[in-house]
Amino acid sequence: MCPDEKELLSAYLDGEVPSPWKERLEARLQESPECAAELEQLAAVSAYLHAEPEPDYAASQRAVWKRLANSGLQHRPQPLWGRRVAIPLPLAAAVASLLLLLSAALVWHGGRATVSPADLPIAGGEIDLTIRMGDVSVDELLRIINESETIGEVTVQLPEGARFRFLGEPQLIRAAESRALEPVLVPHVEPYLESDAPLPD
Amino acid sequence: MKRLSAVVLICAAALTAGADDLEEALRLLSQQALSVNIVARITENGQETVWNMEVSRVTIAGRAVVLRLDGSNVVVVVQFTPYRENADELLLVAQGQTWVGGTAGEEVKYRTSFKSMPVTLGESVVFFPLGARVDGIALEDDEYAGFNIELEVQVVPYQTAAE
Repeated sequence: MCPDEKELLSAYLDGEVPSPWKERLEARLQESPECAAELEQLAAVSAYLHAEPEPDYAASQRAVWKRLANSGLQHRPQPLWGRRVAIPLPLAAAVASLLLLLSAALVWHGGRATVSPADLPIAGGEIDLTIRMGDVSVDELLRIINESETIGEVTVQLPEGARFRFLGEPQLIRAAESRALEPVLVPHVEPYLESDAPLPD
Repeated sequence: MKRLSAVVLICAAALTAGADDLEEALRLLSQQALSVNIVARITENGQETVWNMEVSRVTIAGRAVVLRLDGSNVVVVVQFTPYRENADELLLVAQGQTWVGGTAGEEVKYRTSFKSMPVTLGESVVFFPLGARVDGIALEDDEYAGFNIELEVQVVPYQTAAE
């Protein structure tokens, strides 16, 4: 019987199966014509893909380099704050010590004065963080998320045009209980402002 | 990398189980494997399903299945991790991160949540990354129209799913 795991045969073809499982798999391949045929098919696909010539990227690369060169990047004069200034070591050590003492005093005083156990966040609870990102678009946000290595194994693209907002706290509910949830929709009502105007009907 | 991880996983299972036969190691691994079936839905006003998609991934206890939903103004990243309690029961942990953007120039809101629930194999649970109830949604608010996202998750043994 040939193992169902095609990934194992593919790994063997790429030389990624270590001993002693490699030898055992080779013995199994010799005993099973089905496995040998499947391995041969994988090898044929791999050979076909490697036989294709690699595209010539030279022209595209030259265009990109040219665009970068013409993008206007120029050497800027070093600002005043960027210049290196030599500070004697004893003076630097004295300033650092003073800053450390001041920081410790602030932390000690602030800790005793304001923090109470009730103010500490509960581990495992929810954090509602509002990030003001100005003109950052969703595309830019996607790029930031991708760079922070939070990419999931499965990515699903939602339909265009559907817009969402937070409706409440995220919840995990049993399916039977979720079907009992009834939506509560309210008509849009203009807020009533105190004035001489009569009450709405 | 995934292939190498699968190979290492198979080899580790064989080493742990003391199995001499490769087929025995694969059999033991398949017995421990779980199939996580996820149905992602978009509902309107909490009632009508306007879009759905099914995803299924094989994993083992303690290894998360990660799902990411990209929308025009929302990004949802959810990790579902099953932990074995006994033969028929497990603890399902859902860790969600949601980013919701408003119109141009408005702030992006971020929420993270960590939920867990004991479930039996085959039982379905639903995760609402944006909240469960469509409360207070103005009927005249055409921009949002009461859309919500639901993720229905069901964990079954891999061998049962393969049959």
